[in-house]
Amino acid sequence: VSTTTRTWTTTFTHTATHLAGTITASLTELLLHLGVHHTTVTAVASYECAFAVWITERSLGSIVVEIADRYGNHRKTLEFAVDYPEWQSEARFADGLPRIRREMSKLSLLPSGCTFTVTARPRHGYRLSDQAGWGTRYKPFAPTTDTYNFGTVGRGPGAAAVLRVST
Amino acid sequence: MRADRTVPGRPVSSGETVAEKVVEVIVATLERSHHLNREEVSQELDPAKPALALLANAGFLADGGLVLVAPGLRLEVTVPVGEKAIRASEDTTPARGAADAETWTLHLPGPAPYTGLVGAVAAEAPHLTIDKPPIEAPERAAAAVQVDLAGLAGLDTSNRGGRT
Repeated sequence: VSTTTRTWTTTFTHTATHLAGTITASLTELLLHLGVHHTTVTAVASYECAFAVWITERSLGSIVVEIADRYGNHRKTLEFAVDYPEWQSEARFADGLPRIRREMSKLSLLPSGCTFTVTARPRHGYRLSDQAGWGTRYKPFAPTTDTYNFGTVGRGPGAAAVLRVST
Repeated sequence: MRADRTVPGRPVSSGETVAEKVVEVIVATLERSHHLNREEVSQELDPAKPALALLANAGFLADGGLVLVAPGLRLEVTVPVGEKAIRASEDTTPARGAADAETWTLHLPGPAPYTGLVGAVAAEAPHLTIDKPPIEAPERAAAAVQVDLAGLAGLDTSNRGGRT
């Protein structure tokens, strides 16, 4: 009888990969569900690498996605806030996609022609490293009123991300 | 022939890395056929990589939704995510069975709300579809052989050596 043993060592890079993946998946589905055209939503796939690097550096505070209609009027803000709790190697990798999908189904469709802007905000006291395709933003964020917590997007050892949706 | 390959997704690999590996498995499998050209297959699959990365991260490649079908082969590529990805063993070896394939189809899952996004990718590529894959591999075309019917009619059945 032969046996095979596999060992797995969890590193914070795995957590960063996991969270970057769950954030991009949630963002993609929300934008598509809200009616943003798929030709622009495909670009979300290219954000994953930068998100993972910033989480690995523990410098990412949140990803803010502002959606505006064709006239430039703000319609919705999605914020993926990243938290960095103490490292616990026994913590499991989980995602909250099923819950996000349930909550998402309650959102009504936006008018056609909406576009979105993605901004990464650093944690207090940190600086985001330069990443290809990302520049500096000086424009203030659109004011929001009602904010609804969609819950955890993903979690792993040493980090977790939650989603808030505002109008 | 039915075959399965596994590419562990997040947290083991990013969606982008998964898409690269998935495409390489398919290209390496199809290039075994002397009728198919590696570059042509790659060129057709490259534009699908962002969609594959997004589907992988969303977990929509975790349960057999991605299937390559060619005469003699049904190859299912699975991308587990989360804890299942950690326990999975990566297997990206090219599959056998498509050595004589002249055509192929890659079935992509197109669940809501991805239907439009994946459908647009499939619409641009002649061998990609969001139709459900067949349960079994299509049969290979029978080998083309020539039979001497006149000789067959007068064949002496005691002669097992055949015609020369």
